[in-house]
Amino acid sequence: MRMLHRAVALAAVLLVVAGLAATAWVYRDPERIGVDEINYLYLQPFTLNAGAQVAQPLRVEAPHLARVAFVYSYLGPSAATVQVSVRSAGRTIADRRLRLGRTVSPLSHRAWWEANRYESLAALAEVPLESSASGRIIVFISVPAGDPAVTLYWSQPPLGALPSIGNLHREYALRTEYGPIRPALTMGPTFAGRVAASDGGWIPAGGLMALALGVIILVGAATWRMAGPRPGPDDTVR
Amino acid sequence: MIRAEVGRPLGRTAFRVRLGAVLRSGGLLIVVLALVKGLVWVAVIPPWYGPDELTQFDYVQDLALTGRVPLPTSSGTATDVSPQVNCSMHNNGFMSNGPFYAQVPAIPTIDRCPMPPGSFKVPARPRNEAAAYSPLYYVLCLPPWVLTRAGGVVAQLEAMRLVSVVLGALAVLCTYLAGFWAFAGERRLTMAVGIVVTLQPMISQQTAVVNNDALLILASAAFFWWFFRVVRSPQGLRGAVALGGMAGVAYLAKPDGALLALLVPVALFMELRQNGRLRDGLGTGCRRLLAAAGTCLCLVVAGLLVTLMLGGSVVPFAKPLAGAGHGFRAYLHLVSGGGFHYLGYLLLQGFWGDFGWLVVALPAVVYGVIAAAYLAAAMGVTVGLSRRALRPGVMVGALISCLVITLGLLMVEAVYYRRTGLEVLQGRSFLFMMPPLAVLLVAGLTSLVPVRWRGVGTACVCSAALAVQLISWMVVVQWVYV
Repeated sequence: MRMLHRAVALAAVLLVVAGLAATAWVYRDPERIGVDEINYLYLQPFTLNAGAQVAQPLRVEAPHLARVAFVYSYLGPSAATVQVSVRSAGRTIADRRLRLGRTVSPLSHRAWWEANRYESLAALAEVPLESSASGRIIVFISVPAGDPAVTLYWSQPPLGALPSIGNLHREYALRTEYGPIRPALTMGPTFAGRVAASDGGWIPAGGLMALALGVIILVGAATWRMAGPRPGPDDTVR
Repeated sequence: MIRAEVGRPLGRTAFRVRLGAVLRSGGLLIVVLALVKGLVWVAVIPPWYGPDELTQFDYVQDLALTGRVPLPTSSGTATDVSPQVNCSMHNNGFMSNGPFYAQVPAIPTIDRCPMPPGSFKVPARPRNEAAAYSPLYYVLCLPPWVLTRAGGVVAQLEAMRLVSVVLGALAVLCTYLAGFWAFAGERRLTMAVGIVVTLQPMISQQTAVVNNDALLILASAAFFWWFFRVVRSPQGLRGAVALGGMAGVAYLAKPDGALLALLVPVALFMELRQNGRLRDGLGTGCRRLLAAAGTCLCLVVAGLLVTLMLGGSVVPFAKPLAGAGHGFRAYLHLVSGGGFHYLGYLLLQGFWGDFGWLVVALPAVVYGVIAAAYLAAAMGVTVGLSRRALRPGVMVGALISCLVITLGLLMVEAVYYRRTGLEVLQGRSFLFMMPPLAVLLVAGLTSLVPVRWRGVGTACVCSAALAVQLISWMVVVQWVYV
């Protein structure tokens, strides 16, 4: 019986690890994102009504431009729709109608944390590109006529950013993402390497991953000790 | 020797605890877990990205270079920062005119600044936003600052972070001991309390960055160790002195810790009550209360005298910033508005996951699960008490502790808000109530499990705590290092 309890307890730990690993497998990360694009601390919302359009130039910083993403929020009764097109050197490299889910649901599975400071209502919508680009791209976002308004965000331009079209004081909250786009789980060693290579990185990447694994093993060991039948003399400290 | 199960009243001389036995029974495992986890957090949070880490680091630097506590900032002045720190912050993307607000540090920034040569010549009396705090925590950080001076400011910062990690591990050991007394030495529940606190994400962060929260968390855990010890088993004058001392240390760590002093009478009352000496024990109770108050005052006065000798201030809070004052009614409106959204932010989001300077949060679903766990634990405590499976004194003591700290902090903020119209609390302000909260959570959640499966229940609680910890890593790494 004790073994059964211990097996169940250990299974709970393994289930947690497996569940999170599966989530990290489903969630896909870019290899890197653009520099100096979104000023997260001073994001300001504005409403993009039906028929209106914003345009934002972005600098392509690296090869393999794979996605652009923008911060939005939407509190309406159902999903919203926006038309996003991306142009580079006169050609269109993306032209999609995106369905934007509500951002208010506490059970949302979306990775919404980027702009959570603003009442946990913002999310990042990603737009895959059909082909890569270099130099400069322009992103156009509009709400089709008859569709509900969507909230987008802007901020003061960060250092080195390009001014927005039509409004020199606004930098719309968009970012570029560079490929390859791959499961976040496979990015683990990359992330560990980046931690180790950062200014404060005195723990090597392998050591960091070993420490993380150590935490899981220690919790597993603790649950192994805990699981068992009713408390008896062996289960109290003497 | 202990042979008590949960809920069985203890005799007056039931406990005779040896540290070695406590460590062998699981305490050591949890301390090792806290240290290992602390190193992960130290590595993952980039330099200067801990909340208020710049001002806390500079406090230590000012103390080391001038031998005095810095002056508080006033209107129009800011913390005096050395060129080396400024350069390091820039290279890590942490400047209002640099890439930080838009960019995380893993991506090489366009223009790295070269580290200025030579040592920093501080002003005779540098200014610092953290100057209102007593130097107790910062003195602990002096040795690593001095020992790693040759390595530059980032090495100094990382070394000082290790002080917080050690304080965090000690806090976990004290929490384990608090659980030990709360649950009469029942190993599984005791370990679960320790693990829940160890893996609490915000405690993990605050005990891995340079911040006096780490010392407050340790002082609070030590306080609750003695709190539950007094509640469960008569400790006499010794217990009162220990409680008063811990409350004094907590105050010196951070003024918020003064709220622990309000819990001393609660513990002493329960001690008398469980001995059946409420009627004739008034004199005894008063003597113990005086002893606790005297110890607390002595420590606080000694700490403040040292602060004054070092040129600091005895005023516990920074001078309020200029702002339009609002009434209490406006504060009530703030707290209750939007379906108590503000309270939800403080006690759920800010308390469990609100990382770094950019307040990176956990996915919303995690907060929903934690809120559900709160409700389930409340239900479990009720069930456990009705079945006499839980000690009422312990549960009531833990509940009162959480309420006093929560309401006390909100009242302090209400006074501040009335004067300035500014909100000063954050979720991490409440972290020092984690030990009694963990006792309630573990007791409540495991009470919902059949007795035969209680060991599995505690293991599942720990697995859930592990899940929150791992998600926190994922979120922080995802945010900072993509």
